[in-house]
Amino acid sequence: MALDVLIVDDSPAMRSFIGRVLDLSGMEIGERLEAGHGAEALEILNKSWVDVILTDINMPVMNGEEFLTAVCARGDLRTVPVVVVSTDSTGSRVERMMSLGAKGYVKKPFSPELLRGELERVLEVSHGGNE
Amino acid sequence: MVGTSSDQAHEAARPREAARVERCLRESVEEVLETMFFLTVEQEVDWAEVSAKEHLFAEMDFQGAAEGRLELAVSADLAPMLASGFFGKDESELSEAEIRGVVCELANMLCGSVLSRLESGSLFALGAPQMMTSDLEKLSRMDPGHRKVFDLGCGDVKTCFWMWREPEEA
Repeated sequence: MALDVLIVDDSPAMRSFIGRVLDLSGMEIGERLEAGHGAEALEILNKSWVDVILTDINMPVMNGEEFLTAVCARGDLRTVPVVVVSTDSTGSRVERMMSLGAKGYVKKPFSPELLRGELERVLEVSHGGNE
Repeated sequence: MVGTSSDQAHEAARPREAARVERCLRESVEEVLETMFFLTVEQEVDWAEVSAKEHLFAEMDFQGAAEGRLELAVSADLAPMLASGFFGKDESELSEAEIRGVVCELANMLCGSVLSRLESGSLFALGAPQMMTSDLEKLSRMDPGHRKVFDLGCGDVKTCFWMWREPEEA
């Protein structure tokens, strides 16, 4: 089953890079949606269902922490795993994001294999490997 | 006036701290360039050696457990090469905005990587990277900070890192 993915990052360059990595990963990717910040991502989620969300932390308007909190507070999005993809990989930040409800964490810079591995791990845990 | 033993210990620790910051800077540049761009640093060179070359500049501020800034200069011959690898496009197909976007993203990844190595147990708020309007040469003459130049064979990357408020010691 193809995965519908939402990429949330204020850098168009990084959104494009993550999209390209997903396309080349060998995973079956369905719809690929993009947002430049958390508020824009929430608008997209009001209209579209996705299987997984990849989000940055440092963004204007609504940052990754606020976005993650909003997603986890919404009952209809409870089963959608959020993976943080960020340059900020201090132990304190990783711990904070995981405690807010993130299911995975990928530190930039990352290799395509690392992103794929983390996505597979998170989806396996979230959906019990029943894809 | 004779300094206290605490002052003397602090002074003695300065070169060690500078060496640690510069090591983190070097490791971060190597990791980011190899992982995201498949490029290897050939050698470190002197700042003056590449000053005359044309560069694209980006800057990035951070706050939190410490405040500071990372400034980055990517030589004009290297920047399109980085963008080409990042977007998977031929250099001739790249827009100026795409090239600038990749230079900013490089600054973003370097800053995050350096801070993660220096202060893994602290929380930082990273600003948005932006193309720089100030003069890196002028700034670095006023306060050189921790600066390094990396030669990749196909171009160079200059980095300046400042920490204006050191993290409080535990």
